[in-house]
Amino acid sequence: MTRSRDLPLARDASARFLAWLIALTVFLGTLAWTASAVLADWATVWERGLTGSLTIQLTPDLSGMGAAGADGADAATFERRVTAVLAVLSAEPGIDAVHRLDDAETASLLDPWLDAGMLEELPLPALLDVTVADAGSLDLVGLERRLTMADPGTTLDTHQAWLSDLRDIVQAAQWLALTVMLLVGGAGLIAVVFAVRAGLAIHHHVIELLHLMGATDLYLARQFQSHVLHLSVRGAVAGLVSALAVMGLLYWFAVPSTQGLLPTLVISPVMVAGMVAVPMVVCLLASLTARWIVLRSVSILP
Amino acid sequence: MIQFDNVGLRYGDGPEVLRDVTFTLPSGSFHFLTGASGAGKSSLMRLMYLGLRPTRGTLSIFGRALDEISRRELPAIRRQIGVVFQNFRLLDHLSAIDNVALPLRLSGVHEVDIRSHVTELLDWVGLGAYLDALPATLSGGQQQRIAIARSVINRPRLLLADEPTGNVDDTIGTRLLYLFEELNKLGTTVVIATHSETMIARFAHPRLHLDSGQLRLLPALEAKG
Repeated sequence: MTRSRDLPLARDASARFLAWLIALTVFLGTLAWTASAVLADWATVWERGLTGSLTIQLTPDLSGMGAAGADGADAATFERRVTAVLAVLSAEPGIDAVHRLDDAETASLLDPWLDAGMLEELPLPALLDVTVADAGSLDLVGLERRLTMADPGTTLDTHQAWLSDLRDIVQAAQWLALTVMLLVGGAGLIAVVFAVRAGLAIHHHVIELLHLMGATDLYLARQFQSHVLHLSVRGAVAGLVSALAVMGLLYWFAVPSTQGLLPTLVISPVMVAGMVAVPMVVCLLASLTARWIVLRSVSILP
Repeated sequence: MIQFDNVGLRYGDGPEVLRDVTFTLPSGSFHFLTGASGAGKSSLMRLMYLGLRPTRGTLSIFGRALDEISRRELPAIRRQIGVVFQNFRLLDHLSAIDNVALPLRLSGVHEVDIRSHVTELLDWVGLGAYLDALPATLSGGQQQRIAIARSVINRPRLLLADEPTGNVDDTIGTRLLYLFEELNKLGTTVVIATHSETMIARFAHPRLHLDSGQLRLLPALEAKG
């Protein structure tokens, strides 16, 4: 004997669109979660790379354009300026190490924006990557004053403004992702409510009959709950697979063109947890919503 | 078993369709419910199978007043009542065997036991060859026997049948009434709503007669065999 469901819910038109809506919900939710996790990871990478470090830049004298910092007397003058700055840094307490980027390293930083031909023609600044032993003990204002006194063409970049902007952008993006997730989740749940209400209206004769035969409210609710769960799982799998495919395509096409600009994309446990959790939460909420709607509706039966 | 005490029923703001209905059905009794069309037979049946609540008066079932029974307890009480509806109310998407199995499933009986019970009963009502047939493919008489099989599969304490012979010829109708008598002999309390005086005349059972919403208890007609 093939066990048939007491309520023929699978025949309803709502059964078709609900699975699609759940798929869309999971698709957008997974993408939003993953985008949020990737941004958070990148922010961590950038912050880790910049916290406890300073960058000092000495711009070459551009008045004698064409030779500045590259050869002859101007080059010797530029090196003297660098040496003066290095002397200030070596006398400064709280500084762990100073690394002067060579021309190749400096050029590689500019490489994404300028082509090789332009780099050869342009005078490159001297960049000093300073590692701070204890960021709290360093007198940044005093250091900046001493560096300017040693060479007025020196700029000190503590990265704090950039880090602050980065944090704000990441936070805004995460809020946006959360808002998208809540909106699509809400739309999905509203779809469940309408589908269940439609099912209750279409099958009210059967529901009334089962009620009169002694079906408990929970029995009736389980019929809808398992139906919605079944559709949700189908939709969630489709939505997750689609989201993974889109992420794979993005990774495939975007990673080569952003190398050097963005940190390496790493699949973190948070991302994986989201990919597992979003479909599960959507399915769980959909089935619980169906149960709640049915229990509320059948409670008015005598 | 069932006790009505000054029960009244009205739908919405309409007039009372049942007025001051008072009677007691002892356990194991057999009654016909008679009356002209519109006299309130179906409404009284609906009250008895707990499809409605009286608007006044007291209805007691299985020794308990309905007002004192919580909503949570009602399904278990309803599962002790078998009902044959006037239009059968079979589920079109379910096979004969699944239709009859419904009360067992609602009672939580194991699937393995369900098949043997239902097959045996469908054999007994002559539908052993139609286990997997959908109701739409069966005749009116066959559908009626499925409805009856569904109402008795759970061994109900109370069996209510609303015009169960209304859609079948006299021969099948008489056979069905003999079936109800057999169940009654096994201890089931039976109430059969019918307007067929000829059918009632063949069986010697007391009558609950409704006339314009008021009920009178009448003795059995003389049985004609």
